[in-house]
Amino acid sequence: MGRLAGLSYGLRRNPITIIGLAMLGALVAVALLAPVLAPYDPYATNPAVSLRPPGPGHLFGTDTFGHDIFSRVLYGARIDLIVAAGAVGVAMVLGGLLGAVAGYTGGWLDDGIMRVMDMLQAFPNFILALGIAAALGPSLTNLIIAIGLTNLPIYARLVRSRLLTLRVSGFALAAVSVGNPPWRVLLIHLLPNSLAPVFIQATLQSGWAILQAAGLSFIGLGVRVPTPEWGVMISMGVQQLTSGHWWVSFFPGLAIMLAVISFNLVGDGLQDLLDPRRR
Amino acid sequence: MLFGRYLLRRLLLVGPTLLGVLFITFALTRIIPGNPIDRMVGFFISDERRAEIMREHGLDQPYYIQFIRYLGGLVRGDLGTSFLTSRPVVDDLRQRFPATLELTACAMTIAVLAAVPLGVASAVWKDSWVDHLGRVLSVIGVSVPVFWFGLVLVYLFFFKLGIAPPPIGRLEPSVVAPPVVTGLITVDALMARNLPALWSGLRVLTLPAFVLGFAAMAPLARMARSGMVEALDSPYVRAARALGLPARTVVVRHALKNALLPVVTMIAVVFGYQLGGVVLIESIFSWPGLGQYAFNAAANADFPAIQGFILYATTIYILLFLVVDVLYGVLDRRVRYQ
Repeated sequence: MGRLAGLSYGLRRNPITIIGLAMLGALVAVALLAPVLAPYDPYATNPAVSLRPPGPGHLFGTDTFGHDIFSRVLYGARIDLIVAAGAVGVAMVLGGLLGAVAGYTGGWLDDGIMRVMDMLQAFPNFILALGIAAALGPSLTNLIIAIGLTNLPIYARLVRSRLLTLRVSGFALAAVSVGNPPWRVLLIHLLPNSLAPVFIQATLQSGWAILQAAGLSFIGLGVRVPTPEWGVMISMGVQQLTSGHWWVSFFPGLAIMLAVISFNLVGDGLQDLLDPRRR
Repeated sequence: MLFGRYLLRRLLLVGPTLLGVLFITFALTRIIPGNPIDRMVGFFISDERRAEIMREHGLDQPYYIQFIRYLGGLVRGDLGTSFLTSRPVVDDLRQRFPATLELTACAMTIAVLAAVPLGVASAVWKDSWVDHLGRVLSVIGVSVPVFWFGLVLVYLFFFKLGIAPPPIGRLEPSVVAPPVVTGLITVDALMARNLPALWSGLRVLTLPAFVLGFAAMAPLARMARSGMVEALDSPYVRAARALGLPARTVVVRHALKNALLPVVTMIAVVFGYQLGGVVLIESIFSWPGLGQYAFNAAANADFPAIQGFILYATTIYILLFLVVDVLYGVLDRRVRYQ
């Protein structure tokens, strides 16, 4: 059975992963097509339609400033996906490289890198992100850096442990013995073979990154106020909630939940597919 | 004897980790943000005055001297003074700690009491409706933004249905607070035999503790399930079954004990999420704990307070891991030989 056939067989056995993939596809489509799909400019204020309940004109209602919440939720998919992709990208590349160096060279460099990873992991995850975000100041880039650095040790550990086993495997020893320089063995032979678990982790972490980004933005350490980011939008609705205007916070939160669920379903599904013991 | 050595090794490992944590926290507020003076006093001061303030705070010294001084301050219990409250950060944190302890302890109790039966039932009746329900709850639990969930429940139970008390602090406004002994409202109320305060304290605790507990439940239930699945499939359980022991006995007396060991470790991990979660949840419920303190500090760029909170929370987290490690050694003798 070919690889693709195996994949499609595995997917058919696991309908929940297909649901997850469909949700994730929809999320990406919304992010890409936001300007086409959104009926209003996400930044356009209109005092005349302040705090309208969900209805035909404004599907998800409007907030205090008269922003159309539906349009903002659509645009929010862009920002939250950028943050998730950026943060996970930073964590994956930096963490992966550090783990690769640690696992391939061993010795004091390995010890040094892994001790630093230990220290980063000694912090409760969200609290480290909070500290970095507070130190750097609130902005989209800093939010990505904060969440990226916080989640970096996971990838370092993953890649390192894969390399430790791969380094002494037959094909790696063969590559070394025909005279490949170490960097070539590492980059061409070993790293590509340790990527599968890294990508699974990246999928699961993307959901987590969205939650962290929304949380940090909610407390004012991420993206700033009028930006259509889901966490910011929830924080803009907190005051309105106690006067009964539930929709301002409700819809962005629902969007976060659906986005994170889709990443988790796909991540879990991939894990089951690629790890035969879990089938 | 062996256990003593195990304990000693664990304790020795805490030192370097803690030092590293201190270094990172120090680096966060000194090296990355450029000049902390700019954040403290703004940009519009003369260069002479700036140099003077830098000298006063020891910021003209090389970083390693600053770090040693910082450590020296910590040893004396000095975390600096909050810009916001103008009080020593240590006093603020100490005063707010019981509120957070009470909230997280309740949340953790709810989480464990829900997760363990759910996880065990999911494993025992694998692929039944209980298992599916458990899976759905787990996915929602790890995917829902806690602060939003809190807001939704406040809207439903306080604003719409009027069952829950208003989300403003640890007691309903009409109730007289018991004298502070432990700082835990429910315990203090019990000690003062103040039943109305106890009742009110519990009522107010319910929503925030449930929200935090729900988020914590998912990873615990997953752990309990996978531990139980593994245990039920192990040779000793099959042996017990082959001997004709009743299913109940096999599950409760043989499998459960071993299945729950990994859950103990997970409790420490989950507690770390909770320390982050309280920053979001306490602000929503106006809960006067560490999380609300951190929230206010973050909103006002109160660096000593943020730094103090991070150190405090991380130290608690590290110590909790130590306790769990030791507990693991007590519960599972094999660990001690590694």
